[in-house]
Amino acid sequence: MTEPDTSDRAVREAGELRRLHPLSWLFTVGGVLRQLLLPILAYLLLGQRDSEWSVWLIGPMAVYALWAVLRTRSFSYQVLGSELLVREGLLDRTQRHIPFARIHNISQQSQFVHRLFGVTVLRLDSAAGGKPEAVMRVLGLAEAARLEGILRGRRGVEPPTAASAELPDASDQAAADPGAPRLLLSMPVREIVLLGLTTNGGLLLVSAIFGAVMPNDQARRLLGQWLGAPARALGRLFIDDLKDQRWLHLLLIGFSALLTVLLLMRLLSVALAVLRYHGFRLELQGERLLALHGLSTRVRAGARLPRLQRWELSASWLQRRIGRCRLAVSVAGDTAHQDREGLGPVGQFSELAPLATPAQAQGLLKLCLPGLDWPQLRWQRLGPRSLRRLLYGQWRLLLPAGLLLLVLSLVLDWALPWPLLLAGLAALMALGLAYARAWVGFAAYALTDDALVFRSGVFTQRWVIVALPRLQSLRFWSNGLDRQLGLVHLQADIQGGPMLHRALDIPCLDRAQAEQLRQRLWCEG
Amino acid sequence: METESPSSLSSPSPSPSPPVRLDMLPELGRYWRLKYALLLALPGAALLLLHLLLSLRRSASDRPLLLAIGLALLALGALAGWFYGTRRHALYRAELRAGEGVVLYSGVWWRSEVWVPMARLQHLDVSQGPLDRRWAMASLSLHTAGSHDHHTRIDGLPQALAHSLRERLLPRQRGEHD
Repeated sequence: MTEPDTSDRAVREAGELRRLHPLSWLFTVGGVLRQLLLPILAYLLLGQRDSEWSVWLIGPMAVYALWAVLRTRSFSYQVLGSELLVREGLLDRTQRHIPFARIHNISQQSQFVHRLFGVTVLRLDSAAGGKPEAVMRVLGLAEAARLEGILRGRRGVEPPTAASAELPDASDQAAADPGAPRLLLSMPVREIVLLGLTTNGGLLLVSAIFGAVMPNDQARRLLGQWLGAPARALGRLFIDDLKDQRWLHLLLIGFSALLTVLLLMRLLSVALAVLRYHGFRLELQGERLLALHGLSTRVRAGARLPRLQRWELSASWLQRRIGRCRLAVSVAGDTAHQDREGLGPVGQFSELAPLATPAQAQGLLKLCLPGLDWPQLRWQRLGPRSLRRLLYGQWRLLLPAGLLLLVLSLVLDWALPWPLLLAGLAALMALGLAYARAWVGFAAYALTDDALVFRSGVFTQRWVIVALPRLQSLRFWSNGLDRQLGLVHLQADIQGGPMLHRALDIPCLDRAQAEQLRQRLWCEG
Repeated sequence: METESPSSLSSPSPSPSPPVRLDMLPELGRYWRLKYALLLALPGAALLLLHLLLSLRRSASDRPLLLAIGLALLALGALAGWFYGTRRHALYRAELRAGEGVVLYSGVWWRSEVWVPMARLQHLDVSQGPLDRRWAMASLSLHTAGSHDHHTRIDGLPQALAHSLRERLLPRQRGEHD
């Protein structure tokens, strides 16, 4: 694997038919088996009768395993000139010609089991996004590196710097030549622990587990058995205290229970962060960014610089206290919907820096957007009408609800006395006012020659940066309240990015400001 | 990338031609009025059906309240739907900005304007349902590469206009796309 000339080697190997790693079928079957493992274990080990159905599935599983072996045997690929020919399918055969120029992204993911066998999943993405162009599960490590080298070496001809095409094992050699990867950011263990401490990964995981467990009958019962005893003991303690009116003791117990849960969550977050980001390295190779991270599942995700569409710099309250921020990025074609056959969202290139100092983040931004001069940005604030819009928006929900409660408490003679209700309502409104003032105080946008920056947020502050030539369509949105105040919401769309929200969403913008922005943003490029 | 004068906020060319409002067929308004009237009359119709079913088992005269509420809901729903359809049609319009793109205004309470630049169009289709064919009406769909508002549909265009618009907006030769 150390021939010096990539193109020469490629020519020699052109037309050679290659197949997947001989153990590929194991992973295909393993994926299905994992779903069945819990019920089968529950039946065999715990003797739960209602898992009996799983045993009947062993027969079909064997057939499926045979099928998987045959199917992975039928998958083959071939390098033909400047395109990759992929053949797959047993009964319905598919031949796909993938020109190298159309492959915009190559990523690798190897889970712990993959690494045991020395294999990896290679995924090729085209510009279309959504379904990957080809997923090779699984290839041997050397073979994956060879293929990636061929695919990338060919495409890197246009830029002059990439004349010395990247060899697959160039990272091991001396970093003297310009094609060698340049390290942009690496995260030591301390940073990863900090990342875990300042994020809510643990809470998210616990809620995800609850979401997965609750619909499943026997998993719920199992969880109940584990959690039942301590929860009951704690409950009994509470009830005893209530009966004996030992308020201080009750307070202490409640407080320490809360603290324990919070601490456990943080520890879980740290563990998750270490699992996911251990050994995080961001490298630049020509115009290609490469992120490597992961402890048990090793991910190599890449993206080319011109494909980056949107950057999001965010800093939560805790992260601001320790002087850190996060820089996320959206790549064209990476729609965040999970697809089972590909790598899923974990393997996508979504973060330039999970946690970095503001100076590091600025350095990375400068690399992506050389025209962006951060200290010179002229921030334009939202008008005073935006504050009124936010307040009216809160009141239209709060006031009717409060009024209803008040009337009910007066008419029905409820337990809640009306002064308490009024005080609660006033407190909520004061909190709302403080929040709205803080939001409007920070929210602002700035326009440069080729980018629009919008900052907002109260607890977690975000700076969303979109490149103007990347904007697709614009959308102005308003409801009756907005129109009364002469406001409009400006939304912009880009290729790829998260499905949950739009790439850019500036709420409560003055109509005149919006019109000015529209003239600049629309028909750009 | 652009290397133009950094200070100018306004667009470089001073608005080449005024926007042209696209003709819409009045049948679209008729269709929407009927559609929303029928849709909003459904709860009343359901109550009336319930009354009918109940009265099959007993004498018809012992549930006058149900009958009255059902009739009132039916009338109110149909009226509200009719009004909504009229409003929606009145506010629905599309503009063609020569050389720049298409703007679609829609919505009654939650109003939206979608600005689709011509340079970002990926492909266009003209589609017709059975009623559309009867009225020689067509919908023009504009597709961009975006992930949220990638599909914008303009309803109620005369068929000939829809086709000629598609010809005009069709992406011509495209440069290297990255």
